[in-house]
Parts: sequence; structure tokens; C-alpha cells
Amino acid sequence: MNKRTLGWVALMAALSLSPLAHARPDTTAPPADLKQLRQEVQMLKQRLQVVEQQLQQATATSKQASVDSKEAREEAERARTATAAIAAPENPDIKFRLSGTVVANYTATDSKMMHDTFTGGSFMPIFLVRYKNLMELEAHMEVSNNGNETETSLEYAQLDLFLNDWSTLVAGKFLSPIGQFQQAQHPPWINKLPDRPAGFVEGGGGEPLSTVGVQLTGAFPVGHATADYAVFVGNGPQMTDEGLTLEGFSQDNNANKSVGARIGLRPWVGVNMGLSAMHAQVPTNVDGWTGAGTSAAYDLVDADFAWTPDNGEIRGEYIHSRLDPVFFDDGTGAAPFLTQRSRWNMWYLQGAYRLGALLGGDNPYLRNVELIVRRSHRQVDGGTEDWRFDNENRWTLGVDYWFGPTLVGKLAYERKTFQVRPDDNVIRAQLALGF
Amino acid sequence: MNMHVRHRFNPLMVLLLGVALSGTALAATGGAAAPAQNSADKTARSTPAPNPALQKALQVARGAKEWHAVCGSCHNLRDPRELTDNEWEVAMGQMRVRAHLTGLQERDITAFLKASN
Repeated sequence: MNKRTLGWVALMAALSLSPLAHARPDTTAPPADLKQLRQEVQMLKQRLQVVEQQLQQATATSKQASVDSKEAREEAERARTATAAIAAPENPDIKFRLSGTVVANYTATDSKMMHDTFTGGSFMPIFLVRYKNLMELEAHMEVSNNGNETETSLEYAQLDLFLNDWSTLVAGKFLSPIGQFQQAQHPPWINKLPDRPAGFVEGGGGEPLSTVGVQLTGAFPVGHATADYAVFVGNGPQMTDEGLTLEGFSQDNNANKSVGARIGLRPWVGVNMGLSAMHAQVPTNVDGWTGAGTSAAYDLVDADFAWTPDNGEIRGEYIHSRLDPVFFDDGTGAAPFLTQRSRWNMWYLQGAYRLGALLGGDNPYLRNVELIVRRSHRQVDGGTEDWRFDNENRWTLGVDYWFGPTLVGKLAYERKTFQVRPDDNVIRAQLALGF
Repeated sequence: MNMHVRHRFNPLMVLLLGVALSGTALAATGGAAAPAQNSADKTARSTPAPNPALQKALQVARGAKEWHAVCGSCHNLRDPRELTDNEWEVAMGQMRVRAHLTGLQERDITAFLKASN
């Protein structure tokens, strides 16, 4: 670079720096503005400190929330795992279910033998336990009021061992497989009327209710139909204060066992029919009752059928049974007597129809209404006067309202015509829930 | 001593025990002596099973039919959603005895109820 060029550069630098000289802070500014600026700077510093503190607090809160959230998730996972283990274990070997029935009744009658009455609610739980696909436990209790006392009874308690697709071995106290009513129709949420048919009752009735023993039962296909069978051996009936009692006694008091069987057929959809038979030797020397020999032979035959098309049903059952002559000595010194051969003839025929089906089924209330009519008959010949006391012909007209598939309100009128005592008109109401 | 004591096992009892023993023998042989199978059984046994989903669908369809025909012949049909899958398994075990179902019918109806639950 020569001197001439250096001179031009110096001149240009001088010219370019001259505006900057004018932009420099005015050191001659008034002191008041400087003081104001310093105050503003100080205020901004203070605000910045507040913001920094708030930021620090927010950061700490966020960290804590994150920790809490993680702990909450872990706690929820532990709870879910524990609940799943209790409520729905994966592939459990043992599964449990509680079912049953609750009922409440009201009865109005013109009989002089009883008053109109509410009947205390009965609670009938059924405990079901299944072990794999091998076995099932069924236990049915009944808790009810009798006067001022609460009664508890065991209707049945049985073990079902599934042998194969066609056979199940049942042991314990089980419902009698004779006929159909006791086996499948007697639960109050299934029975369409508030009471059982004449003669098909507990306590002195002619229908076997339960047996203590073993039973082999099952079903197998026959073409397009299905046949079923049940064969049982049990302790058998005994004499009690109510007469011949066809219930399962936990201990036998003679060496003879009762035997019985039922074979059924479902030939078409909605049709079910069956034949049953039973034989027993009624124990002797029990509570004043003595057989003509050392025991009295008891024999029973039963026929049942059901036709259940959509919106209706017709079903019925007939029982004929007989008991050999029996001596009776009540132990009071009164002369003992010999009963004649006793014969029971009982049957019922029942029809039901959903009113909604008749009226088109569009009305949400009418379609839940069901009309029922039942004719039942109980006839005992021979035996004692007590046994013949309840011989009757009975007409029952009922109307049900189904609040749900297993919740029903029933109202029924009964006309009971007896042989040896005044006739009776009865109105029954019942609310029953199956669960 | 009387005649009833001497004849403790009457002919009817012997006959019924014979039926029971026959049933037990049937059980021991896995039902080999069972009569011809019904259509559902035939479907389950004779149809090849290359497609599990198809087999499952057929089982559910059979179960729906049996559910309506068998369960509905005794009582109102309950909503399948009323019970859990496990509860239906237990309930159907009880109904297998009470309603005289074959094992196949029980499994088919249970499959339908679970599928509808």
C-alpha cells in the first residue's frame, strides 16, 4: 500500500466514524432520568427473581406430581392384580356360584281351620362349587320362619361326579329323580303358581321329595332325539307323625334300601316325557308304626310329560303308589289297629299362556302377563283317617306378572273341594325372585 | 325271622342295580356302546376341524339352539349377561344333572352363553 492509498483510507475512516460520535451516551443527561432507569432496572431484577422462584416452585411441584403419579399407577396396578386374583383368577380349578330363591307370600281363605296370613319370607340359597370339569357340589338350604322361630333345613347336598358325556354319578342327599315336578318345577321362580299341586306337597304328600344314597344319571342321543335316565339306591321313606314320609333320611333304620329309576325322552323340541318307578320296604318299629311283617312294601309308578311351545306350556304328572297294611300302636295304651292297604292316586294338569303373545306382544306391560290354569287331584284310599283327610280336587286360576326372567309376582284363586271336610276358597299372592 | 329279611335284595332292586352297573360300564368305556349320535354330535365328530374359528362358531350355534330348546322348556331364558363366564360354567354343571344334558350339550350351551356374555 502506497502513501496515496493510505491517505484515502484514513479519510474514509474518519468520515464513517463521525456519526458514531454523535450516538454515544449523553454524559450530560439529567440525573433524574438516570435515577429512573436505575429504579426500573432494579424493579425488573426483583420481578425476575420472583419469576425464578415461581419457576423453581413449579418445577418442584411437577417433579412431585410425577412421583405421585407413578406411585398411583403402581398402586392401581397392584390393586388390579390383587382384585383379579380374587374375583377372576386365570383358569381356576375351583369355581363358585351362589344362587337360590327368595319368596314372600300372602294367603286369604274362607276356611275355619286357618286365618288370612302373611307368610314370612323364605330364603333358599344354593351353594354351587365346581372342581375343574370333574365334579360339582350342590347344597340347597332353606331358611324360613315358623311362628316366632327361624327354621333352617337342608333340602339337598350332593356331589356330582361327571364320569363321561353320558353319565354322572351323584352321591349324598339329592332331589328325587321320580317324575318332573320335584326335579325341575318346584323352585318358586319356576313354578308358575304360588303353591304346589294337591298331593305334590311336603309333609305327608305322595310325591318322593329327596333321597339319601347314590344315583347314576345322564343322557344320550337317540337319532335326533335325546333320552335320559336316572337309577338310584337310597335309605328310603320312613313313618313319621305325618304318616309315610318320602324324604331323604340321613340314617336308615332297616337293612332294606329303596330303589328307583326314571327314563325320559325328548323326541322333539319342546316335548319331554318320562316314566318312573320306585320300590322300598318301609322300616318297622318306628314311633309306634309296625309293619304287618317286619316291614311294609311300598311301590310307586309315575308318568310325566311337558309340551312347551313358544309363549305357552302344557304339562302334567300322574303318580300311583301303594303301601302294604301297617300296624299302629301309639304307645298310650289305646288298642293298636291295622291299616288297610293304602293307595295314593295323584295328578295335575297345567296350562299357561303369555297374554302378550295373544295381543300381539307390542304392549310392554301386557307381554309380561301370563295366565295359568291348573287342575290337581289327591286321593288316598285305605290308610288312616288322617291320610284321607286331605283328599281333594283343586282348581287353580292364576295370573303372573314377570318383572324379569326370574322375578315374578303371582296372584291365584283356588277352589278346593274336599271329601271329608268343608270346601275351601283360597286367594294366594306371592313374590318370588330367583338369582 | 321273616321272609323280608331273607329276601333283602328284591328282583326290582337287582334289575336296577344291573342297569346301574351297565351305566358304569358305559362310563368306563367312554361311551363306546352309546347309540347313534344325534346331528349335533355327528357335526362335532365327523366334520374336519381345520378351522378353529369355524368350529367355535358351529359350537355357539348349536348351543344357542339347545339353550332355547332345553333351558326354555322348564323356565324363562335368562339374559346371558346376568352371570360371568365362570358363573355360567358352574350353573351349567348343575343344569347338566338337573335338566339331563349330555356333556356335549353342556359345553355347547356354555360356549353360547360365554359368547353372548
